[in-house]
Amino acid sequence: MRHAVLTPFFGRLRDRFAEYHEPIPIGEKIRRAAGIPGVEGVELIYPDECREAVEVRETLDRHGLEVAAVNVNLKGEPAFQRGALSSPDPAVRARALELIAGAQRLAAELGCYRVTCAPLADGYDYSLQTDYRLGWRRTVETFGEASARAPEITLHIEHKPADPRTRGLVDTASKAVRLAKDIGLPNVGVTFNAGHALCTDGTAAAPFAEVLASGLPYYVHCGDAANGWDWDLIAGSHHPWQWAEFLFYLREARYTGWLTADTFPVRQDAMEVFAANICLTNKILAWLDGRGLPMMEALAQCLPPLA
Amino acid sequence: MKHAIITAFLGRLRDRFCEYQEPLTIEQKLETMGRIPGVSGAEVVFPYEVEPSPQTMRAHLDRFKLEVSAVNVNIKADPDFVYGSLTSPDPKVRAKAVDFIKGAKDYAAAIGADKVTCCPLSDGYDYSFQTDYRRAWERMVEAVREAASHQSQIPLFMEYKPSETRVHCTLDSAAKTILLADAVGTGNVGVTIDIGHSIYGGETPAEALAHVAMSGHPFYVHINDNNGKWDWDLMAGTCNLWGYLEVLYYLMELGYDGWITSDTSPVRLDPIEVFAFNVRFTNRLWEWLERTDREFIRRHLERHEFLPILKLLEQQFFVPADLPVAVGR
Repeated sequence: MRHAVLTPFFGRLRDRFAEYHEPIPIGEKIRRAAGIPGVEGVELIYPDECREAVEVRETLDRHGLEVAAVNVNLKGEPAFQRGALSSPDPAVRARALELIAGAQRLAAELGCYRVTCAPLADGYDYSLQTDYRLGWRRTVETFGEASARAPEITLHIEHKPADPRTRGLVDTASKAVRLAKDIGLPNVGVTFNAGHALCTDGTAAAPFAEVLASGLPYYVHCGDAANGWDWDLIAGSHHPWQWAEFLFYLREARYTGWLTADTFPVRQDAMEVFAANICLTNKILAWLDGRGLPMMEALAQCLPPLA
Repeated sequence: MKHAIITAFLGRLRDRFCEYQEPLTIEQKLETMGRIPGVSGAEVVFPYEVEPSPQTMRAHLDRFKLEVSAVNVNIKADPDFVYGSLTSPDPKVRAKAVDFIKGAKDYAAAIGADKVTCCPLSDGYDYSFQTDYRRAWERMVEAVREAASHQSQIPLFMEYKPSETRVHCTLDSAAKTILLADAVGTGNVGVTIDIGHSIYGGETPAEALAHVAMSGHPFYVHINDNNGKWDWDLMAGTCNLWGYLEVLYYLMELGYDGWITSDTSPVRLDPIEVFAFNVRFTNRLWEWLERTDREFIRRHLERHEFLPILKLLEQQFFVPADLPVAVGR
């Protein structure tokens, strides 16, 4: 497995009440990412951080970094405030399609062939605010159209319980699997976010097992959660056993892809936070590869089967 | 029933990912408030959403026929407060936070407001082993005592909240806020009960209110609602209707004649409609409580008999479809 980081976390961060750190250009973010021991890749945000490969290619090459994925932001524009993919307004859905197409083009240019998307504007805040069936169908159609247009690029759908909507349309890993299956194209998969799963389920391995069972392509975001909210905390900092269990499942699945840190270093130095993520994860992986893996396999054999 | 709105919810709003609504000056915010039916008060945010001159501020308030329900002192947004304000290990940061509260009290006195409310949201922790909980509490008690003692005729209301900006806030429940007011011991520390904070913190808001009332400390009320998971600041009664009615029942039983202040975030909706709904809906529920046989409710509550009360609610709130019902504003 290889470590990557989401680049927006190096710059200006904010929540409802405060702002943290200074804004910096994408080149400087990449330079900082490269300074973290063990980081081999970055996930870039389209269109906010990067629109054209030329903006980042030279910097990436100079620092020997790859692009793990292009993350398409379908929540930031004012037009998306009441939904993007599931919007009742065809012009808003068309704009979402346009952005996904841009991200697909960038992913191809950068040679990663992976676009990840958390459709966070799609959801609802109140009862009787939306028709859940219609919202789902529109999301299936819009994502389906986007994926069909670029069959060489895998589109990974990320689940998240809420934020900025009170309830996200794709709130669980199971729903992301359902959505990918409803779309029914071979280039649609899931971005499994361990922190988002821990936020609602208190476990990452159990919902991840469903992703594995689906056979869909997957990509992984790392983080931890506490107190029922997606705080994007350092992976393993609140749920060390659950994090180890999730890594055990990744090893079992022989995953050799990216572990991308989705960790929000609001009150800490971003480079230190990402270094801590990697250090703890690598130690757990080394433990699993040594004594741990046989131990956990033995434990699994002693316990009643899951299904 | 006196309704107020927190100035911060008019104008530009934001979350981690998006921005909503257009920015407004404080004068524009007060002008907007003055146009919302039933609103007669403003909770103003110090030092960020007030005119530097209290006289100018007072003139705006008079022009738009608004009272001040409270001065809300913000001790979370300043970069110095990111790691904590009242509980900071740095004495200079604690002194700065106390100065903010003292400044808010001076400002309240100058514009004729009768209270300051403070929600210490940067005080708390994100990780295990990040803070010594005992020292943090002692520091909060000391800092609140010093701040409360300044302009002691203006009470300081402390507002609790389970989280945000910190993963766990130090002042996270009604019970702890009562303990804080007890420990401070100045007799002029009250509790601001935010219904949404109470709900997503796992309390029953009416029970929290009852405890604060029993403690003898003064209280002040922020209204909103949520789904029990996060402080979404939704419109009052939209998720937890019976729970909200129960809060209003207790306010009436307690003889509360203070402000009902909307702490409601109109991120994707028309702000005037959102606040007008809060006022109108709350007034409807209040008027229903005034009309209804509260002795009947008291008698059954005394005996823990829920079904007769549920039947009363059922009969009164769900009019059969074949009866004419007035729909509209």
